[in-house]
Amino acid sequence: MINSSALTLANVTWLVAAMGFVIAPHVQRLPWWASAVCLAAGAWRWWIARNGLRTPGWLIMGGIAFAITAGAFVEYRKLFGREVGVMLLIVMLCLKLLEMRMKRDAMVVIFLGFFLALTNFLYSQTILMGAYMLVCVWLLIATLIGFNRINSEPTIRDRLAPAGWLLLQSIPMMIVFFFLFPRISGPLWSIPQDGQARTGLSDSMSPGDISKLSQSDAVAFRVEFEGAVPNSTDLYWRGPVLGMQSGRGWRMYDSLPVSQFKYTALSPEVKYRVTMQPHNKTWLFALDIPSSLPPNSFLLTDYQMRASEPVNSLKAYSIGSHVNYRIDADGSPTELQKYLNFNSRINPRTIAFGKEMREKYPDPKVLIEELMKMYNREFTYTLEPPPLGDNPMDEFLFGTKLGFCEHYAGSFALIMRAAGVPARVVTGYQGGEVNPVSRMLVVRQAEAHAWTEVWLPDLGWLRVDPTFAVSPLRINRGMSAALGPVGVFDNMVEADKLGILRSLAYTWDAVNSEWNRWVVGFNQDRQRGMFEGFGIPDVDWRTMAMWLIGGVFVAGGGVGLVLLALAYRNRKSPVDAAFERFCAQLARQGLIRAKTEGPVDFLKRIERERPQDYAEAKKVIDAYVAARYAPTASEASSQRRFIQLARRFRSA
Amino acid sequence: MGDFSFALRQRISDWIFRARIPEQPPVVLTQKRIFIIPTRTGYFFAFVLVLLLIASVNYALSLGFLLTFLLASMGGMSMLHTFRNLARLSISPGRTEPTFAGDIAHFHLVMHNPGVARFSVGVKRAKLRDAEPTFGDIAPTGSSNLSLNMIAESRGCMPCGRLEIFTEYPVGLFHAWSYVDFGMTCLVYPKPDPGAGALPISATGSGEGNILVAGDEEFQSLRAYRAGDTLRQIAWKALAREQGLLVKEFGTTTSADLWLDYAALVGFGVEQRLARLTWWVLEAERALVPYGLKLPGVTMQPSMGRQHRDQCLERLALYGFQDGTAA
Repeated sequence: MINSSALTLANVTWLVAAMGFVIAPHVQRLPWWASAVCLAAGAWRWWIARNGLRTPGWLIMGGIAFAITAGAFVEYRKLFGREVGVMLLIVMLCLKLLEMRMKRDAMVVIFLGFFLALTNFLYSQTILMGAYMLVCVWLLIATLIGFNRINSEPTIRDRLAPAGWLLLQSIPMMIVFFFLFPRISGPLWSIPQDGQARTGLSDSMSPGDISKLSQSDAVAFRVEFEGAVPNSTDLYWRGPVLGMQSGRGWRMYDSLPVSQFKYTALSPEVKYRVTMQPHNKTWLFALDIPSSLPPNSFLLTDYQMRASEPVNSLKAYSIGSHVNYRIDADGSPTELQKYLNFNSRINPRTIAFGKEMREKYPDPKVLIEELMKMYNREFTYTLEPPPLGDNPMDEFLFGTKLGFCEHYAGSFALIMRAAGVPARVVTGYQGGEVNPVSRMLVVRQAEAHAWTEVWLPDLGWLRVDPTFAVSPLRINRGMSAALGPVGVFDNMVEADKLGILRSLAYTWDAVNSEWNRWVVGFNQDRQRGMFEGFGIPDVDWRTMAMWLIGGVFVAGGGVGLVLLALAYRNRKSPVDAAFERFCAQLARQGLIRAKTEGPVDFLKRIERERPQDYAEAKKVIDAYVAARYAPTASEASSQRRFIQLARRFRSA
Repeated sequence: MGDFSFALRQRISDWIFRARIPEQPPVVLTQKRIFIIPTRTGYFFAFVLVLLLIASVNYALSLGFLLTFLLASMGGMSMLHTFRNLARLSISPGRTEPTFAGDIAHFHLVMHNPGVARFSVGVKRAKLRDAEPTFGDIAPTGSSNLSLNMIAESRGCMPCGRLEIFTEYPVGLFHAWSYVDFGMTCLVYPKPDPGAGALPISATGSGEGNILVAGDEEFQSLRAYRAGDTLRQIAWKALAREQGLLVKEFGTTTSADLWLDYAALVGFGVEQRLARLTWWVLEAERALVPYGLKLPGVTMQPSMGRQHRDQCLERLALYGFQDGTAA
């Protein structure tokens, strides 16, 4: 029933607070003035409700709305797109609070509040965000219930308890819908990708890039091996291959996809499954060197694996690799030529050094060995290398001698090219940590690494990792072992002598991994896989619809039946229940009250048949008569008195 | 034609909604007599769910799917809660006090709740676009009295009509309702007309303004005490002289009581006459003057008191209605 009296102070306070909770995670991304407008609108609306003022007229509202739109255009330079759309939705919904005059308006705000809750998932789909949004939905529904309590003011409990029960009862049906509702893959229309920075490797590398990345605890991907986890020294996760030496660093060549694999396997295939966090780039990671490809992906001539679409959401794929292999042993000179180019104007000393070394050691294998010895002898591995100038490699090799993997890989590849040996930089991740709870290998951004590949006749592309020469610990035992704890979290774990934090951290990671597998990563492919698990390969929508209807029937019907059964159970008033307990006490002694026997008659019979109980029973029955037939004013107190007496009664 | 189609629609709706008139109290709202449909808010909610689903598909938001399905399930479950909020309520009619035309008639319904607490249960007149509803909560195993107020338009026997018991609690997505009709009526007295002026001294006479004015009456005689005489009339001096309990009589004539006569009000329409007579009945009661009432075919012997007043007013209310229902 539509009336403005529904907009009580309590209802408006709840609505404004619930909206605040929903909007809160967005504040970090909103322009400051948009947050300020939202805050002001909420406070203003609350003030109107508190003092019974009039809501602002349409002229004021129109003016504000126009100003907001203009501000959005100035801020984002467009009015369509995800970021600006979310911002406009948030601010306009806050303005709608001010325009709210009837219960119906409040309903609109609450329902759009649900939509606003969904926009938070565009930015984060973690367990924490999910739990937080569940709380927000709970608050919104509690607010909704408040608006539907028409004649009486509900207490906080009166709002939260029914809302909580309603949500709990909906969960079985939600689970059925989630797993059985036919999933459509892909966007319904193309979504403009707003530049959303994600941590991860990029298509170029200059000194300092990877060491920056190494400070991040963020998970890059998780791997589940079918057999044993390979040796740490074999865990080279191949990512972008940087073949072009340009300016201060290295970049990717535009390579073409290869139609077939050309490799000689020297070890058995390792099979595993990768679940990758979104990084907004197309590259996929595999152990050197992939032997098969997941669907919708291809391999470039430099053995880089690419997805056909950027990885914007959690992506899982199964794949195999050979950790010992030989590739391109018959490489053509024209193909190899591009791995010999370098810019001769910068880093002149390094180039001269490379040429000089080649003259000294004509055999490339010996040359490589000598260079490794040099790195091992003279250089220091550090996460915080000093900044380098215009000729970074010269300064590094002949000056600072302090570097991270990108310094070693970059300088080594350049020396090799100057020495006339085809070389390229490979970036990716090295190592990973086995979570003893989930048995999965967790690879973090901190494990980002750069190494090199050189081409030798008959051997093809050979992996050479100069970092290994400088700090073997990095490769054998991982980042933390080589450089000490990375990041705040690692520091905490390091300080934790008893291992409690560490085991908590492992458990949390395992929970996250299951969350990713069953919730965030549950897509059309996973759904098909699930139906295959049920023994239904190539499920069609008709079968899925049948399952869905059946599932909803079972889940919804089950909960509904319990709900109605409870509702149809006769409730006894506390007074009646207490009186029945009292009668049951006497019935056990053989004194059964007849259905039509009044309490006073019953007392007379007690006096005759069980005089030993009479004194106590008289107190109880007197209190019962008082409670039952009391004037309404003293009802509650006389009821309490009776219940207390009846509870204390024990037949002698 | 229009009447016919209206009557037909009415019959069909009566059949669908199982109208039995009048019903024997108490009426228990069973699932057979509770109906439920989505509200306009409910349809808007469904539209928002579609938006949520599209956004979830488009941006491949798994948590978006979860949210959409949670809310959809919540909507479905809320239907059961709305139904449960009415189910098993036991409804009986309460006493309806007579009222005057132009005043408010209060119809009462007593709702007993054998189960869990009910909130925001409304009552309104059925089939009326802007019927003003009344809401109430009913505690578990408790009872609640809901009064429905309607303006009594004209004198007679005002039917309450069919009532709609409804609820949209807890979330307003569904409207559950049931009809009850106990054939409740409210007796509506004519609206008293102050234009009638002071009480007519004699209704049997010519009706010339021979009016008894309070305060200047002359003492006439003493007569024996009759039940209903006021203390003011008792002749205390006579009692002191041990002459027995006597009562002083005032007025111009000794033989005739005050007669309020319909026929004497020449030159007025039926309703105007009834309105004036009503006013006089109330005035006579106020002035403590015994009065009789004469309507064509009806004569109420002069008397006084609550019961007499109510009987007279009822005659006035129902004057001209043969079967006691309003025309």
